[in-house]
Amino acid sequence: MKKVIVGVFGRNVVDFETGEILGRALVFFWRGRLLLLGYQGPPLQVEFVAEVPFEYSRRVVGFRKAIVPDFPRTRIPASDMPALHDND
Amino acid sequence: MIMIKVLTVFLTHQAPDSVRAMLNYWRDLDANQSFLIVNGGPHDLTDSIDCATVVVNDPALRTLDHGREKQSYQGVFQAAAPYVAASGADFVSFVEYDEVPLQPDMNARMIAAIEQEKADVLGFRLYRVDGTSHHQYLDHCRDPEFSTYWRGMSSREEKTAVLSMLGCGSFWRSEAFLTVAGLVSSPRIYLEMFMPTAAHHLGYRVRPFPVDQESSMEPEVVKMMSELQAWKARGAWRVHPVKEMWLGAQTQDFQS
Repeated sequence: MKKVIVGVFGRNVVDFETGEILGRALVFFWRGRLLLLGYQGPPLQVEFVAEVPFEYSRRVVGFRKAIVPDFPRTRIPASDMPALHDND
Repeated sequence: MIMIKVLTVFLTHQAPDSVRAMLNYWRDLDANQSFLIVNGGPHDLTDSIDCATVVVNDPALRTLDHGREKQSYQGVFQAAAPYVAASGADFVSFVEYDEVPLQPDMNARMIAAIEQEKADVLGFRLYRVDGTSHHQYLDHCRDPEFSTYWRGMSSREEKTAVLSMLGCGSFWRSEAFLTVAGLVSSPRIYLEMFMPTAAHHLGYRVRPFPVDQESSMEPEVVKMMSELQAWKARGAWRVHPVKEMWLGAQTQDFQS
């Protein structure tokens, strides 16, 4: 039922950088906060988007898909560690 | 002594008949595999299946609302760890009972993927979730112990990173699996965040499976046995979740 309501009355949530449609949600402004209801897509980062042309009266809040981690390995595998010798 | 390349660790709560059907299917697909059953359910599997079995009696595993109750696989990892270490396996494939493999050379494909990524852990639906809308992350943020724990154990310069991946279908170098299993005094953190974040902060490289394998593992879309051939034709290595798979003699129909 929730899916149907979000599907009919919701709006697409779009990655402002790539244009990828990330999911659908009902969007409300309530008590000074932005509410996203029914969103089922990947985790979202939220930020103000720099717009061209520059305007004093407008601010745009955009969504971006969470990043896929790409951290290097920092641990030396046990198999690569030098052997310990009791007699050294 | 037989050298084991990949040890497949199954987490199941199902009855002996279903576990036998599951093992038979996996063995029929690829006879050259090694398995460990981690029994988290109420059934006694000791004398009813021909496979190594360990039992987990961890209340943190037996949750109903997994996210809100912060379901944990630490008890599962710790129960499996002695067997993994003794097996000498290079890799651990961590599998939930409702995953169905489709390709006979799935292990070889996963090894190729982890080597290509130069990774220590591969997972599905892998994201960095700190600072995002991720619902479990936001729930954990209310607990100061959550960030304190990562800061205290992290070997990384950036100690605030939190990762999330599906609990099913992860692929590990054995060393990474055993090191994460060795974290015995961690606070209660939902398994989908704990597993990849712990591995990351211990200095291991965590990466996603190839992107074309994601759709066949989506937990929100329950798959039917009648769809397996179509998934296989589309190149899926395996599908999840297939809840009905081991519950009856229908398994034989698919294989024939």
